Amino acid sequence: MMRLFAAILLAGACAAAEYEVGGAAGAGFVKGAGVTSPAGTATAGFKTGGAFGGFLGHNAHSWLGGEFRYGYLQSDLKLSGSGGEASFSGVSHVVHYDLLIHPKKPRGNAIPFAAVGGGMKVFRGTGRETAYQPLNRYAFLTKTQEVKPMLSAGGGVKIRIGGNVYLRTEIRDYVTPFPKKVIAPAPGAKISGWLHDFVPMVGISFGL
Amino acid sequence: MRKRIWQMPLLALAAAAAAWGGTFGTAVAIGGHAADLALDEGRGVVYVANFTASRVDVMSTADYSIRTSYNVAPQPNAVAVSPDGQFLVVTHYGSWQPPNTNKSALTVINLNDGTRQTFALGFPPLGAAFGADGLALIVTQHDLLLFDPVSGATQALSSAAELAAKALPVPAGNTPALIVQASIAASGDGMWIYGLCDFGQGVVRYRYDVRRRAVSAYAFMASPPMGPRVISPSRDGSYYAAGWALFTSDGDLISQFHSNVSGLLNVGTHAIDQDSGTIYAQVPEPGATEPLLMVADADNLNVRETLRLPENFAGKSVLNAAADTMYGVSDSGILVLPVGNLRRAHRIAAASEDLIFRGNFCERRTMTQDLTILDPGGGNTDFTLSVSGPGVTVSPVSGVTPATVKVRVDPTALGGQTGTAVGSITIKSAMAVNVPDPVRILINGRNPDQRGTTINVPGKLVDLLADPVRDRFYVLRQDRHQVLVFDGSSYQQIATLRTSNTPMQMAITFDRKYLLIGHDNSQLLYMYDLDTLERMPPILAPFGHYPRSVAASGAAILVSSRKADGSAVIERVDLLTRRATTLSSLGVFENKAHLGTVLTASPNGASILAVMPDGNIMLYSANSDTFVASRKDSAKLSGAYAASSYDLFLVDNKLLNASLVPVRTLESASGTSSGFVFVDDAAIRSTSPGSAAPGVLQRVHLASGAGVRPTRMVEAPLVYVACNNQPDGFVRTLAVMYNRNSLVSLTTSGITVLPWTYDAATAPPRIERVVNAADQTNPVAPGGLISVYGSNFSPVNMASREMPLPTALGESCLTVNGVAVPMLFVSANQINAQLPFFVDGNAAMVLRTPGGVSDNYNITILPAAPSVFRTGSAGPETGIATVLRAKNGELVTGSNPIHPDDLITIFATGLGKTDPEIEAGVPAPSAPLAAALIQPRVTLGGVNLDVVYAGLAPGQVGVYQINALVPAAVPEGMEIPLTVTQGGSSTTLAVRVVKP
Repeated sequence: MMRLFAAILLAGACAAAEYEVGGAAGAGFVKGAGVTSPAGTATAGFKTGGAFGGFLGHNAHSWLGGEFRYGYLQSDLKLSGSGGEASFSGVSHVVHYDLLIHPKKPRGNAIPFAAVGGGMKVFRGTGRETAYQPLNRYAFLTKTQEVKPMLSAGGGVKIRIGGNVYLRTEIRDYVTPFPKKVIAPAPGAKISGWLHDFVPMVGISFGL
Repeated sequence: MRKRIWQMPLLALAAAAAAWGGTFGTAVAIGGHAADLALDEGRGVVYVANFTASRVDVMSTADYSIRTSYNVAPQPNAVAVSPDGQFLVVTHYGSWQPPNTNKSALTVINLNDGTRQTFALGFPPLGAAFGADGLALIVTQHDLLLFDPVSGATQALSSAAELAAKALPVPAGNTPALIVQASIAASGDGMWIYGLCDFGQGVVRYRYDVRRRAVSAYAFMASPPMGPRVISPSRDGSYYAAGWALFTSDGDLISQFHSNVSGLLNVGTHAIDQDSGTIYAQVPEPGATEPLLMVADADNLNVRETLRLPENFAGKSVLNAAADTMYGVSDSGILVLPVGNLRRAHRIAAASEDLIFRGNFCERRTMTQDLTILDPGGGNTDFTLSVSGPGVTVSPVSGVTPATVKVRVDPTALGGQTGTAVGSITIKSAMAVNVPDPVRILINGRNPDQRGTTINVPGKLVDLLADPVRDRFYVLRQDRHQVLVFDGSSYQQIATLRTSNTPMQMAITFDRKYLLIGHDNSQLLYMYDLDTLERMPPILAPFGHYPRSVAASGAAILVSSRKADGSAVIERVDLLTRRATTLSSLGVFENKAHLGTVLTASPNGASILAVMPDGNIMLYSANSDTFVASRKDSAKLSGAYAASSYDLFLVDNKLLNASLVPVRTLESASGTSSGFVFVDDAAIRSTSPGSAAPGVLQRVHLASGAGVRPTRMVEAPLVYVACNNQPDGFVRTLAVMYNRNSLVSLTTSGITVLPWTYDAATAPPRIERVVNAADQTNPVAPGGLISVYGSNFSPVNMASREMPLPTALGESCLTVNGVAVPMLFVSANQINAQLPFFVDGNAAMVLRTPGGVSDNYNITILPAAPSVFRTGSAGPETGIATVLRAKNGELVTGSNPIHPDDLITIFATGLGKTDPEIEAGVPAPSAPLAAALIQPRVTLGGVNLDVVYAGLAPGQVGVYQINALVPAAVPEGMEIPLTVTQGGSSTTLAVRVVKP
């Protein structure tokens, strides 16, 4: 993991020819993780919520680039099972660096690309704490903060819409270990699996 | 002349100021006799008809000075201001005895330009009032006129036979109210005008509908006379007070002031504040020497407060639009009451109606209770206390509010008395303007053989009824006009139902859906839905009839009604029309009942028994739908009455058969007849040998009339007390709960609960385990709450809400080293109690019950034994440790974890002695706080917390609280140990800690 990160940074250091800056907005769709407890099973995760962010990219080679990205996701905590659901306000932040691989000679104005990289994701529970929370036999939705390492993978297409202006459509899968402090399994309960946050976005970027 | 007018109110104000010290309001002297007044808020003045000085005095509402006066024609007896404020109409009473002629007149004063016109009237005027249409209704001795102040035109509305009024001159001492004997007033919206005047030997009330220009009148006889001779409509005219009663717009009597009114025409007044549901009234009793104002509910005339006045009112009163100032005709002229500022006036009251001291067979030491004397407005008011009652002392006997005084009772002063003695504390104050109620002191000294648990219910209790299908019983509190609804299992009061004035008796309809309440001072029979406890439209008795007693059979609901002339009749209720109709006869018998007649129905609805203090007894049969039997075998009857479903009846101590023939006479050696209930084909009765002696409860063998296992009660059941010149009467003081679990009796202190098996032989109690009440572990400490487990503790489940906690509850008495232990709860197998503060080390616990004395149970009382309560609940979760986060005031749980920098409060028991010392059973004070003598240490995950406070929780008994600050360095986790260590003891529980 550390080796991969070093390679990404090295790639960034080499790129200097053309820069790209932009912003994008979309929504995050989270696939929850399973919770098992003596009381039964439930699903813990996050509600679908809006996402937006910005990036600064550079094209080191004709087929390889890279970009730093920041993303803000509205991520209300969610617990569902036994015919009920509990939720808790929350947000998350992602900071990562992705390598962008695209064809050497793109046809027309559309430039498809694939992205892979890594960074970190900050989960924050921001709701009002109460002595009783539904489904508390499975987990507690908690007002706290937790940082997790993150893998980022995805792809998209950049479309030149005039001069150095690009329209971008893309999708990312942010993969993290499950944040067991923000959604803490109740005593006797267990949460297993990784958390996948699929974030499709549409954005505009400018070549510099 | 002008100078004298200016001087007089100033003198009056000075006099009033000197008198401020125990009276409410300011009297303004006008130098004559005021006959009427009218408020002109636009100009900030009150116009006062000065009857004898022939002028209208104009008093400023700002400083109560009389700045000007209109010299008008002789004997102005009524004044009224037009709705637009332009005209003041003044009538002049010119009824002179021959050879003089009628000199009656009417003056119109244009208040804008000062012009005046005077018109002659054909007959002496009795009053004047403006309607919303701008026309004045003028009532004379022979007609009702509509007068237009703009045109001066007069229109005759109707004529009448001569209305009574005195011709001039009159003997000295007569005032305008005694001369004119009439009052007229408009509702606040000007849509209705009501009047009251004498007519021959009777009284006429009339109503003028301003919208329809229609007059309706009601003539009736009134005894005593309808005094004070004042009529006071509500703002919308839907009801009004006239003389000593309150009427609906249609003239039905809603309620009347206390039974004993003087009827003086020239003393008293009233005014209604409809928005707040308040009536301010002076309606004196005969011989009353002190002018007193009642502040009462404007429907049932329940007196909330009584205020001393500087002098008597003597006629009409009005409230200003804000209803914060009342102006009334008074002896000096005008009396002004700032009723909106009553909270700022000095008043005095005790925080409790009753103080109950329960001595018991465990100990005979002096008992002490705190009594708070306060000014309801929060002021500092002086007070002096005087006590009556055996062995009662109070300290200090005087002071300034707010104050807490110690009331002490020395049980040795009771001698051998084993019932409940009654004393009182009288409160006086030089500054207070109100008349405070005395505090009743109840002192009981029971012996082990006495059964029952008393529950204090203050006030005058006059009837008791068990619900036949719900686990409830109803108690009629007459002095507050209330039905008190009690739960039949916990014996806690669960609701209060308002009644009309002076409720007398209750009944439940045969379909078990409704509760009916009869009254002595209301024409209405109240009705409540027993499922919703909501009031239904009342049932109206004929005018002048007061439905006092009610009973419901399967076929009919009958009431016994007092008539205004002092006689009584039986009436039948129609629930559809909500009317009661007087029966033409009672079968073959005349419909003549005694004033004190009471009715009761058999549980199966087959019959209604009517019993009368003069010895008459009658029986209504639902099957025949008429009265089928009437007998008089005694010169008088009094005490208990009951009807069974098996054709047996009881009156006093006589059992009667289906023809009301006495078949058995019950023994009377045990005391005066009080309560009697038929239970299926058996019966239970209570008797009282004296109010301070224990009552006697016994089952009755109906075939022989013999008493079975007579048992002494904890105190005496209530008996009929002669009142209203009625030496004999009936009471209903005993009821059996519908599930036959227990009996309830009205007794000296309120109610006494006895188990159904009150007379069964009981086994001695046995103590098996003593634990602290917080986490049910063994360590206990002085002042801590404990749970005692075992068997045969009590025949009933009983929880106490009394403060201080009683040391005898449910016939059980617990001691530790001979010291009585205050108890919160008793049941057959468990007692919750508080250990005394000054007993520690090895101790012996003993429980005394009617079944005997337990063996010693040895316990060790540690100096400190902290344990955290597990009584918290959140949602459906229970048994949560009582640790609270100050940030959101909620219990610490997995979803509400502790955070660094939180202030947490731990509720626990067993923290031991405190400084200052607190007596066991007494709520902890808030100032100063009772801090734990041994400071506890609190750690979270091994990290010390800063303990801000550790001591008794204010207002709680035996409950301590520890307030502690959580440092940033605490470890986080799902189950971090929170440990309280005190002395050599500690307790630990796991809590969740989360860092940001």
